[in-house]
Amino acid sequence: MMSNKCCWSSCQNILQQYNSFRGSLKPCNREYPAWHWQVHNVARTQFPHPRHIKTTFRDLKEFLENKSKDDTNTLYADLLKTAKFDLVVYMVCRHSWGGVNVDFRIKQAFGELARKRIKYYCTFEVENHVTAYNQKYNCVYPVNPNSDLVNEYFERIDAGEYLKHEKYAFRKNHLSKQETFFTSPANRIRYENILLLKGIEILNKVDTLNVKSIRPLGYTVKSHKTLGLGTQFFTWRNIPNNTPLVFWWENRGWHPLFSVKNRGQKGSKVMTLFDGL
Amino acid sequence: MNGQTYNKSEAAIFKSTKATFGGLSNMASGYTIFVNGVIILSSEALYQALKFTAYPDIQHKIISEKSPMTAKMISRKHNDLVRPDWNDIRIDVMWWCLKVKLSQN
Repeated sequence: MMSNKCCWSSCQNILQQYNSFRGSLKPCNREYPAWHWQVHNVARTQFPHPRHIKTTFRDLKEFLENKSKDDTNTLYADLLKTAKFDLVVYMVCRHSWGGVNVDFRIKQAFGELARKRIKYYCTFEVENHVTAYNQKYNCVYPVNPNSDLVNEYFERIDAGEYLKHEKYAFRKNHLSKQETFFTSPANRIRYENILLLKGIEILNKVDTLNVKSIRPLGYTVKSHKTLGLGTQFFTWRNIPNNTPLVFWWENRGWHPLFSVKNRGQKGSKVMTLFDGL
Repeated sequence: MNGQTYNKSEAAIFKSTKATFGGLSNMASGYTIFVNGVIILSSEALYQALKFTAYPDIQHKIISEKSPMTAKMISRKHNDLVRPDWNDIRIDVMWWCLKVKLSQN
């Protein structure tokens, strides 16, 4: 759980790494900025935000495709490539797999020169990249419990005609190489199975599930035939929708730890447990 | 001896990575490759990493290097662990690495 104070303290630490900065966000995002900051709560989610942040990639793309407001009227992407400014993206929480995908998509859209000049920072990283080296898997990523309930649910997942990542849906037994997130590998399996099975029970009570990207362990890309991102990260102001459903889905008798308005059941109260912190 | 003859006027000749056609060199920086969900900074790093398919930790060290030259230097330190069939497959591996580089850059 990350507090407001912790988040901004992390931001300030990153600012101090740039010598020409004097600890203030005021010079940022002006008409011809020397710096441009983007702050994201949790990369790879789309939950509501006062500035209507979409996803990290879409925000970056939208910004880089805009023209600067000075006399040159040049695309920000071109200014970035010629080192006219630095672009720093700070995420409170970042998923390693999603982060690499954003990096590559930026390269595809704007070229290697632009990709190299974007710096990413985060306070907490969820290491969930299934093909990367030595990931901690500090998230809920269960091994296959060989349960009828799970197998039957998994077969029913509708990931559309472009479905992928089916082979990564369940964690291999030997991953992670060294368990550092849970107290033991056995406890990890126990916790993951509880969240997975309960999440499937919750979804099975829904009459018509219209959102293809929702899974028992939280949201994911809808074309991924997986069980959800299983993020274990919460902030003082909200709970990401890519955390397991048990934490935030309120419906048909299930009362989550963090009941959030318009998730699962209309009219659910917004619980502001951490107001004033 | 079998061989292939190249017509100089029809060939893209390069010597330096900074000169004309230098980007075709495996030692050229700035041509990142995305393979199996992993960003690799050069085709040289990819080629060198593929020598050590049984050693993911060595592969990780190689592809973590910023420059193709240092990636090659890391590889040389582990010459004794190169996969035993490397000499039989290396041409095909190089061909594949170059195709990946071309298709993504």
